[in-house]
Amino acid sequence: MLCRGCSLIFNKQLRPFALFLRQMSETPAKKGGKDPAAYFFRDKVQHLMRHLSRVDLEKVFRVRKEGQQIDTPEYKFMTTEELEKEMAEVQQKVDKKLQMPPFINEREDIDCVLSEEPKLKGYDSSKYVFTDITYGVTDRDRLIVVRDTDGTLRKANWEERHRMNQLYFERPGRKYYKPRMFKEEYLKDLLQRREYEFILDQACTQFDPDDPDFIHVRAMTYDHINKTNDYQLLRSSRHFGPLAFYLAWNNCIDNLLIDILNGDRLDEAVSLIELYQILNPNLKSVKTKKSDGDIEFVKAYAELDSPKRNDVELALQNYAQRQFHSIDLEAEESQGH
Amino acid sequence: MKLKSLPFDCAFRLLSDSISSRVSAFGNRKDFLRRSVCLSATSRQELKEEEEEKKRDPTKDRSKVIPVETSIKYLQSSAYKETYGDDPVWLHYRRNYKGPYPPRHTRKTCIRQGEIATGNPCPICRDEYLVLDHKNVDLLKQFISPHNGEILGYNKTGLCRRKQLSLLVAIERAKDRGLITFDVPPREYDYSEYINKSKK
Repeated sequence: MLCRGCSLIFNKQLRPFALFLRQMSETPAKKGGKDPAAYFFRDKVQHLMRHLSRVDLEKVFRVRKEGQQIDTPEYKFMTTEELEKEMAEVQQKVDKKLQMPPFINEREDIDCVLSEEPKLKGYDSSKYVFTDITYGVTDRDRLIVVRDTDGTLRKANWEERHRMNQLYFERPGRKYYKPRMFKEEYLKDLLQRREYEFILDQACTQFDPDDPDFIHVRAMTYDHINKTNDYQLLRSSRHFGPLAFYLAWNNCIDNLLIDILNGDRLDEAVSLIELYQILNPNLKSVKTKKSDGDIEFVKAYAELDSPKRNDVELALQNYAQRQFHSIDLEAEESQGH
Repeated sequence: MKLKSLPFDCAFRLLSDSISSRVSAFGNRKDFLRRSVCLSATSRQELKEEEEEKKRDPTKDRSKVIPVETSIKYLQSSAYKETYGDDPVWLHYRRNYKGPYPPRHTRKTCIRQGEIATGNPCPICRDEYLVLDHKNVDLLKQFISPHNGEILGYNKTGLCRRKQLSLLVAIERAKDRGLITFDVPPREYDYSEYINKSKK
């Protein structure tokens, strides 16, 4: 314990240096110090993820059961121009609905003491939490401080921040406590029942994107989907883009690539490999240009960088065969007429 | 027949009957007896035997607690299928009331002191093997509207108020554990909060 004068000097001069040292020595982000946030918010990456999500308007605008009042459906007669205007507005709504939850690193614990006053020790048997409820400040920027029972005034930790933000600025669907469905036993049951969209939607509502719980739940869900190849359930939802990003970030895009090729979507396969190359600029297949042809592009990736080379090449071969077979059939039909 | 000629107990009981029928403020007849008069040993014993002989009607007895697992098995059984078919358990229940409109609230409870205390119990109370628990998802889903996902009120289903409350609690628990899924309100993100932080 330092005396008053020394503690003042420490707080003013040495503490910032101590914090700087701590920052330098902390374990780096995943992937040898690389930060996914540097890539996730780029326009090109967002565009690729949206293309991979394969937007199906029927699924995006399906009837959601949120306890709303049931009204009779509305039918309108429109001219072509009015319809085009409506479709443009629909595109904006789609952008809003399919806004992807950010893929960023875990947050660091808050450990900031503002002042120490041992004279206040024993003033009360409980802590005091002071929250600044000024309008216009976001949940993350809000100033929340705690006066402990031993007189220390410190910034609130993440749990206290969550509780206070939920208390004063309630968000629909978010709870004070962590819902039991995120515990191992219930989460495994949900994964077995393939309720991926429900788990991820609940996680988005309950947690912030940099919460360790959110990252853990998301990783578990995406790993399960990758193992069981159940990609179709998440397509046309806001979670497919981050799924592709997660797989590309952790170098396991092969299962998804094979699934896309089996569905005869070469353009999506090309997008996925492009995404993988953006996140890993040191790949060998980065040098092949797209102008050579899409099949050549995928082949180059399979030969040079794919861990499951044989499976990807087989899927590509089957795709090529199916394409030529369909071309032959069309040629026969046109000759017959 | 004169009162004096009867044996003491019978005469006493006749007197007490006639008194208690007029004095309603004293409540239960037995309480009145016990509170106001010191009984002889023989009459006390007779009262006890009367209580023991009064057996409960087994169809109305709800003192036995049925475990949830039994209820879950019952919902898959042929007996349930025969009774209810594919309809929800509340569909063919009709409340009894005078006039064209039912009262706004259903009764407080069908079961009092461990047995059914009404002639037309609600859909859950009338069948002892329907247990409202968070694990019994098939039963709980019958009370959630398939159109907009809201929990149906007792004006639709006819449940007594106590069972409606236990239904709400069971559904809330099931949703918390992820046993019942529902559509979550969407969360909007402001990307600028996360971009700036990463650059710092």
